[in-house]
Amino acid sequence: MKKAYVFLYIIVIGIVISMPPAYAADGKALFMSKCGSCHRTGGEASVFAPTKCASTQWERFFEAGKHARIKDISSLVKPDESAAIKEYLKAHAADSDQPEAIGLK
Amino acid sequence: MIVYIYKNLHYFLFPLNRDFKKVWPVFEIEMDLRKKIVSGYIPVVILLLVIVSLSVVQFRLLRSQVEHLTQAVAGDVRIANSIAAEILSMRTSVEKYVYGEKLEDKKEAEQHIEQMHKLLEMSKQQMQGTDRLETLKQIETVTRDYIDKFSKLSIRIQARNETREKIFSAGQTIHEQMHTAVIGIRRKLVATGANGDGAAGKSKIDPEAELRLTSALDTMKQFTDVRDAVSRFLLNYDQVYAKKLSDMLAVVLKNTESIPELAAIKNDIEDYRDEVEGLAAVAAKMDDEIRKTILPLAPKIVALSQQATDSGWNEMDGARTAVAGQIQNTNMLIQLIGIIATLAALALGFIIAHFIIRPILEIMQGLTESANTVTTASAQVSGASQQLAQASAQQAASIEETSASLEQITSMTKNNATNAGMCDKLMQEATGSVQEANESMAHLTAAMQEISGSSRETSKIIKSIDEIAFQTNLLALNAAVEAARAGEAGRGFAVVAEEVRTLAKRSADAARYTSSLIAGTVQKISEGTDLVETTNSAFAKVSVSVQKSETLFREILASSNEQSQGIAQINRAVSEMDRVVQENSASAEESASASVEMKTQAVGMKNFIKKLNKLVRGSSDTGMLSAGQGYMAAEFPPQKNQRKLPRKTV
Repeated sequence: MKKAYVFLYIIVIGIVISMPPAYAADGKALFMSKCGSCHRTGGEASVFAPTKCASTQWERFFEAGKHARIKDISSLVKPDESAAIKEYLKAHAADSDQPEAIGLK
Repeated sequence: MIVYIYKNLHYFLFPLNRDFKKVWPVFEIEMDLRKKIVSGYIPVVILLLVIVSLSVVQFRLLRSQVEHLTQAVAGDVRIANSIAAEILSMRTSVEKYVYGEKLEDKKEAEQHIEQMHKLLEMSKQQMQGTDRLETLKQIETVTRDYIDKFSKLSIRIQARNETREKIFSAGQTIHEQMHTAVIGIRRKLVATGANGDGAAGKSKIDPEAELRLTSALDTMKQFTDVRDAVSRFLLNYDQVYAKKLSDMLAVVLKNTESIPELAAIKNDIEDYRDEVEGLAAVAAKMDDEIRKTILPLAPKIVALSQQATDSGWNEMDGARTAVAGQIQNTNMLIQLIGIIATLAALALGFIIAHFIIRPILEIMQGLTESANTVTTASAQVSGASQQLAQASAQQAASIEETSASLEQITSMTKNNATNAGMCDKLMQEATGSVQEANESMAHLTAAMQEISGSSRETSKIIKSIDEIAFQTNLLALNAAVEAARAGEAGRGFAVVAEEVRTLAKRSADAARYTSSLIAGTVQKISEGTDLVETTNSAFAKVSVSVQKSETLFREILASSNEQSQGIAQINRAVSEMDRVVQENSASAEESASASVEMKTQAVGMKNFIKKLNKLVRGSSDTGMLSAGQGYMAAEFPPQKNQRKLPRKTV
């Protein structure tokens, strides 16, 4: 039995280690849920994909707080969530290694 | 053996004209013709079988190799070629899209990619060469990479194009805003000037406002330059322009910040700058990807497919060389065996020819002699047959006469037999009559003896009567005496007594007469008895004679019957003889015609022998058969005493 527990522990540790950084998964989910709440078909704002901008653009977009120029979403998106979304968008920007053309619906 | 053959080479070369028994003692084998021919063919056939089986084995090997080549290797090559072709098509369409960025090109490229996917899946199932399969895996990996890169590139192209559109529209908007701002500044400037003295208005213009206008116009000019530069950058996405653009936009931004009228569009210009830089980044990334990945990947795939094709070709080439070598070896082997088989066939042909021709020559010799004999014999047979026919005719006539005589004899014998049978019957009847007579005689004898007995009894009775008559006479005398004594009274009586006495006397006389008659009768009976006995003995003799006659007649009858049977047999024999004679006659005729036929056949046989000789020896000269030349003559000397058929002398 002890051996079985040790084995299970090793497996769990292995899975945890092999998992990608938490924010990446979170970033996409946050992007889909937070951004998707307004940016959706027939929604308040138009839909877009991470490839809408290049990586530097996303960086500047978040740094300059460009979204606030159109709408203040600080109550909706917390700073750490915003960072995660930014990382996700940068990671899948038009000039990234994994451009993601399928965005919000 | 070799020395032996060498020494007798001329015998081997001309086997027909030599005494083979001296040359080929080893090969004097007792076999029939079929076995000889077959035994001659068997080694050749075995060699042929060896050739055939060798050819079959080699051809099967070749076929399997060719099949492998055509099916596996050629299939692999075909697949590799089609992959190479499809890669080229895909590459062309992809590059067309990359450079032209047309939507239909993209669709075409996607179609080719789809096609490529299918082809790779199919190839993985169909390809057979291990190294080529390995290459195929590499092709697949590289192709998937290529396709991945292309899909990313197409995403980037789309994103870039959208950004480009945004840059164009944003540039336009900014320009218009700048224009509006400049016009506003100018209007302010003009308004300020109008408020002062008209003549000296010029001197009252606010120099700061004028500077702002100039700055604004400069900025607008700078932005126009930026847009020009953007347009130029968009022509070929040269990163040198990108750097310049960033610098130019930084200047514009700085100027914008210094002009209060333009402060409102600062954010737009910032966004514009960001879009331009973003576009430059995307373009740089794309350029990098196209240069470093997509463009080199296609030749890499082509090279890999070429490698697979080369592998197939190499294998085919190797197989071709191997097959060529194999074919050459087989060819040489078959040629070698063929030469051996030909030599063996030639040698065996000579030997078999000898073994076949020699007995045929022997037979021909015999046949020629037989034909001669048959010709002679047929003439003899012809003569004999004619004689036989004549004799047969005469014999037939004689037999006919004999037959007629025999028929007469038969009828006579039949009459004899009938008469003898009738005599036999009559004799049997006579025997019965004699027996009856004998019996009657016996009865007569007995009757006569009885008569004799009766006569003796009668004689006794007559004696008694005589005594009675005597007594009566005495009594009559006594009565007469008495009557005399009685006188008258007794006279009547005396008469009666007299009468009685007369009667007695008459009785005595009658008795005496009867007695004498009886004595005579007895005498006669005695004589009759003797006669009867004599007759009896005569009848006995007659009976014996009749019995003998009967026996004789029976014998005659039997003889007649036997004679009849004998004659019947003779008849049959004669008719048989007649038939035989007729057959003989027919046979003689047939023999005559057969002898003619025989003669014809003998002539035909000679012709056949000539033909056979021509066939066997190559010349129709049969002289050698009777001339006593060559080994044949030694073995078959001409017969001196020809056997002749016995000639029948008539």
